Amino acid sequence: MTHDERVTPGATGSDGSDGWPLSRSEPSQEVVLVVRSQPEPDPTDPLTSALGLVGGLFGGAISIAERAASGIVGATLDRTVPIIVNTVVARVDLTAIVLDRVDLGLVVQRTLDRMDLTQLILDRVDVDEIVARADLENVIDRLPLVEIATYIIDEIDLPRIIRESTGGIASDAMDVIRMQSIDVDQAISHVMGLLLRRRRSTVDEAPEQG
Amino acid sequence: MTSFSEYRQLAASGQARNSHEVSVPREARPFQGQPAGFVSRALSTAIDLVVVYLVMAAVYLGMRALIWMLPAWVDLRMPPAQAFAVGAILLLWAYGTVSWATAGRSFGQHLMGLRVEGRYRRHPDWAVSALRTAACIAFPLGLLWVPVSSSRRSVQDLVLRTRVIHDWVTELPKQEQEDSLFPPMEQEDRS
Repeated sequence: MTHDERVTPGATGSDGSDGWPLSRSEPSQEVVLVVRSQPEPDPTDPLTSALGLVGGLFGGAISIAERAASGIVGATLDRTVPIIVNTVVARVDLTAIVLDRVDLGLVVQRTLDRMDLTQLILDRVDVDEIVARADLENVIDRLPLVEIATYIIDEIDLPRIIRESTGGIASDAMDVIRMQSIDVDQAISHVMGLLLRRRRSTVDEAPEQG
Repeated sequence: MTSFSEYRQLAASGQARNSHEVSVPREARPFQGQPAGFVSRALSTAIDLVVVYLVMAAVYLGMRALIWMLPAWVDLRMPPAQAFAVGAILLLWAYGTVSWATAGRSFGQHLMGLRVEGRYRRHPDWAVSALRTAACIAFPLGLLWVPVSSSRRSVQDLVLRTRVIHDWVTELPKQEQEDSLFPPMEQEDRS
């Protein structure tokens, strides 16, 4: 508002209703409120300009003082805090405090939970370099080489491969004769078991073998 | 397929095959250590008889050649057939005794993958081997008891507490046996 306005409570509005909730039976009493607007400074006024200049200079001085004080305090802290901290740390056994007060297991566990160790090793560790530097003879010495060799020979059936590749006709013939004689013996044992009404003996059937 | 970890568990429990057993064909592995039947043993005996017969035939032919090459004034005649028969029996007895006492198997049993097992040892000792060979020569029909016996033992096996098993793997003598024959150098130095 740039000029004085008069507001009259209880005055009739444009729609004819009362402006204030006053009872009609009470005698109306007019109250006049006067709101004065702030006069805008006149830029052409020399006094106003001088006051603004003084305020600006004062604010700048305060800002410079704040900065200077901040720099002085910062420099002072930079010099004193390390000395104080070092003095304090030198007088305190931090390791013992950490060991006494900190649940290191929980810290390590939480840290490990957050980390993908496998990916970390894959990213950060040169496994080939480690293997290249490893003493493989010690590793080989700890390996059950005979068991490994026997396992491989058994799994690939190396005797059969040798027999088939070398073409040992005589050994093949003897193996065939041996197996056929075993089969005939099994049949004879079965027949004799039936004839003698013997309970099936352990030699009638080939034992199970894995 | 058995994984290596499973194989190691079997090896720890003593169920895995050793390197000798692996050389046996898979179809024959279930029968290893099982008593041999009549046919297998009869075939091995037949092979042994053929071996002895061939040796005696070689002796006969050698003597014939020797007599033929000798000068006429040397009066050397061929021995009678009974002497050859006795020689064949003695050869058969010595052959069986040495074979069973040393290797546990004769040549015929080696071909058939059989081995004679003693009561307490891997193969019978010299006395049992000699008695068993003599019993087999004297009463070969004892082999006919094998099909009847539930444990596949011949009469000789029942008497001498031996048995014939399938064993296709030929193993060398144990270390302690070699040591007894050839003492280590340290022991010789101490003496």
